[in-house]
Amino acid sequence: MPRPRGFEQEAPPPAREWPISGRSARRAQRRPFVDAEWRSLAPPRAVGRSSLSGGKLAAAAVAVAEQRTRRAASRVRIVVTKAPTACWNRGSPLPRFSCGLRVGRTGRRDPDNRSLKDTMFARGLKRKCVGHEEDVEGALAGLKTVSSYSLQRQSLLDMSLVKLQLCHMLVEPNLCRSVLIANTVRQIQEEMTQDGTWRAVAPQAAERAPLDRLVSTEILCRAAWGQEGAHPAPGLGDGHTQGPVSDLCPVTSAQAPRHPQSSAWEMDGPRENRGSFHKSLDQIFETLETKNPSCMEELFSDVDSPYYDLDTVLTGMMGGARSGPCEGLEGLAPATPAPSSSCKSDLGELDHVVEILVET
Amino acid sequence: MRPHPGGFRYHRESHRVSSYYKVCQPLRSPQACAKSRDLCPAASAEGRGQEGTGWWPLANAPDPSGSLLPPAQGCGASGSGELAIAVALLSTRERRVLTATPSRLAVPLPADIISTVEFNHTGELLATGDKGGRVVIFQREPESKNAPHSQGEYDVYSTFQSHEPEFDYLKSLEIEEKINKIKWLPQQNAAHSLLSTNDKTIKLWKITERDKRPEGYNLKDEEGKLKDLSTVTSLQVPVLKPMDLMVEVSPRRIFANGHTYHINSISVNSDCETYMSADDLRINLWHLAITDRSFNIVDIKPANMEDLTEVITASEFHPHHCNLFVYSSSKGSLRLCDMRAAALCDKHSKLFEEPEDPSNRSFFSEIISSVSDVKFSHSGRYMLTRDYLTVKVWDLNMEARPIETYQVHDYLRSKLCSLYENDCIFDKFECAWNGSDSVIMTGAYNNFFRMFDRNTKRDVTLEASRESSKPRAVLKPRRVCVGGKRRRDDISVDSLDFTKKILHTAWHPAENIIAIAATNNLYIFQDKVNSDMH
Repeated sequence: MPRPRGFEQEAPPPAREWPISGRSARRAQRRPFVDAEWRSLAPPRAVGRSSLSGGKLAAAAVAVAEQRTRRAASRVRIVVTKAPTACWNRGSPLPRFSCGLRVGRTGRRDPDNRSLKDTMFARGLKRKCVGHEEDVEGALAGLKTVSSYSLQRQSLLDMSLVKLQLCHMLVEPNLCRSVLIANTVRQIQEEMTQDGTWRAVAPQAAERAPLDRLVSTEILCRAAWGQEGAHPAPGLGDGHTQGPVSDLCPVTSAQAPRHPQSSAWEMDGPRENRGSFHKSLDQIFETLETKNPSCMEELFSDVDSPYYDLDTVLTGMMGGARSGPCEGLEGLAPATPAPSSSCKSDLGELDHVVEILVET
Repeated sequence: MRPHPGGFRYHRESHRVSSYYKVCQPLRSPQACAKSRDLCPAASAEGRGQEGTGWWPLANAPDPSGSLLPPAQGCGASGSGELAIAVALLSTRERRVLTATPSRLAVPLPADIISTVEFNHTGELLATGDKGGRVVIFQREPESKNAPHSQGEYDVYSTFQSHEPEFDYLKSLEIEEKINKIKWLPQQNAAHSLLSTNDKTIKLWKITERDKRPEGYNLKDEEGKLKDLSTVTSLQVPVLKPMDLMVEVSPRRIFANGHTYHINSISVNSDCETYMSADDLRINLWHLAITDRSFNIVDIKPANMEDLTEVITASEFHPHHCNLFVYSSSKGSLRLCDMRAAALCDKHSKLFEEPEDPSNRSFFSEIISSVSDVKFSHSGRYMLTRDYLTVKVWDLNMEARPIETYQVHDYLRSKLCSLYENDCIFDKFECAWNGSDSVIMTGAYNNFFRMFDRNTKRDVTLEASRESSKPRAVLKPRRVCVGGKRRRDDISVDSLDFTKKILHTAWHPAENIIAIAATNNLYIFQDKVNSDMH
């Protein structure tokens, strides 16, 4: 039976069952894994796992960063960050960020802690094997390994963000896939936070931030770091991360003098804005989701749009504090998420970006 | 008789003995033609004797007496220790769209991609759903007495459009018509019933046969026009006359508006009155006769969607206990719930979860641990789960870890980042039990599918492709070499085609007949060993 006209798809559904369509897909099919020989990114061991082609990955990361600056403001809708409601106080027990970023000492599969198992969404982590990162003697020797590992990690983070932002405007995106990618991003961000190896951010990013409404990961990194720096306690205050942080101090020594500076700058910025933004963001989310349970929910269950929910998932996932400049966010606050046509106009650009990622 | 709606063309060949098919104009991708097999000097690293007993050479005529085959019981152990499944191509169905140009499409049309395969409870009928919202039902031809060795082949029984694409005006999003799952209802009368679902709506279809029609109406003539009453002189009783068999399919129930998220699985309860449908965050219980109401039995949606880290990926009712069901999550856990405990089964009765292996940990650990399919065994004691790299057999009595784990394609473990890049890591493979719960089967890439014998711990990799499926030939087991020593006809990991994936497989409930959906082609294989043992 002939299918209705209006619903013909122009191309095979992208990014779900097939590789990216088009020229890059055929190239990828011919040589699927000859180019990018990635190992699975695991924390570096003492034996010094050989680093992969860092040059290519660095180039990819740079390319993505360049592409990012060209995206339109409307895309920020998905990338909007939310200010955490709790400060990360070194001495206090680990807070639960309202944005969903969790820093856990032990994974959820702690055999002594059965209560965690009852709630499926208590933790965002699989069991994290702590203590394996502590490797004092291998740290300096594996300096190069570490830096390439962090490059790979950063590249993976960028790739994940691109995947999340590729919105299929015709059909609802696959929630399972989005959740898995979001969890990966959380995991990377958390590991980066713990290692304290946020990439050094170019100073001009600070001036660009008001103009660039897209909150890039550099700003995220900077903001999160500023959060840490706001509480100048030795180390991170958590026993288990003491080791890797001290190990990686030589790596980050170049960035260390910047921290007090940036932290002083960041301390007031995010903190004083956090409260107001939290309110405005809460208003947004309340309009999107009905928070009244029981009867109201029953009536409005159809309004409970998964598409909007996906937005909140992605929003919550983009953890860490917001950056200092708040104009971007305020500009977005009244803009209720509408299936923007400008999204579609950027699909071509994003296709280009994805092609770059696939081909490298 | 056999309806052939526009969009399908099947080339049927008559055959006496099973496993012979010639398909005209095979749909071949340029890559398949151009891809050269890596022929490497033979050097066996492992002791898997691929030549020798049990396997017929591809080009030669099969040995009629079957003397090469060691005696085997079904898929059980053979003398050489090799998994004695000699599968021969029983039939293959190709879905092609009639196009103006007799072209060889490089990529099959999206609407023809098969998205689900399911045998009914007797195995007589095989239903397939595709991305275009169509359902094609195959029926097994009854064995003829003349040729006792001929196994019934599957022919098209009925085709209908189950779901149409819809547009959700509230969210301005399209609802795909792709059939996600088909589940047969146990047959209770002459008609067959099945449930088919797309992302949002479940439909109950009733399939009936009509082979008689009444003739001799008083008021109407043969064409149905009203008779001129003046010509009617006497009354007659209409007589039932035989006619060509006609298969009629009608939608009996439409269960709509039950789900906010995409339905990923449905499962009919053993009480044959209720069934459940699961989407990403909720599971609903329906009664087959009531369409305007459903009960929510599982809800894992967090109060704050920002906290969402886990979704439901598959669910199934227990085959014998009507109160038990299991659902799997994207974090690799299985939850067995008892509906007697509470109306809302958020608290599981049993949680099946294997602790993570710290040595294998990577950024992709969580993604590859996501369970894509869960199936109860026919006995009801075991569960089979499929995650990205392994299949696991769980005993319902032991929650700590699976009793068996089989590696499907462990050579992909080092390629996870590339697979993440091209989204292949999110592919949802299905798994299947055989009728006696002794062999499990699942699909992989490059049109390979794998079978594992639980008793002998042997496994085999087979390929479902037109090139390797010569007439009356037994499938040759394939091997993926991971570097080092390679044998002839081995495939290297880098030359695997990741666009050819076998996600959907089904096993006949009683016999050793399997249905493999490879993109837009359906292959039906049969265990040749078993057929010779009549």
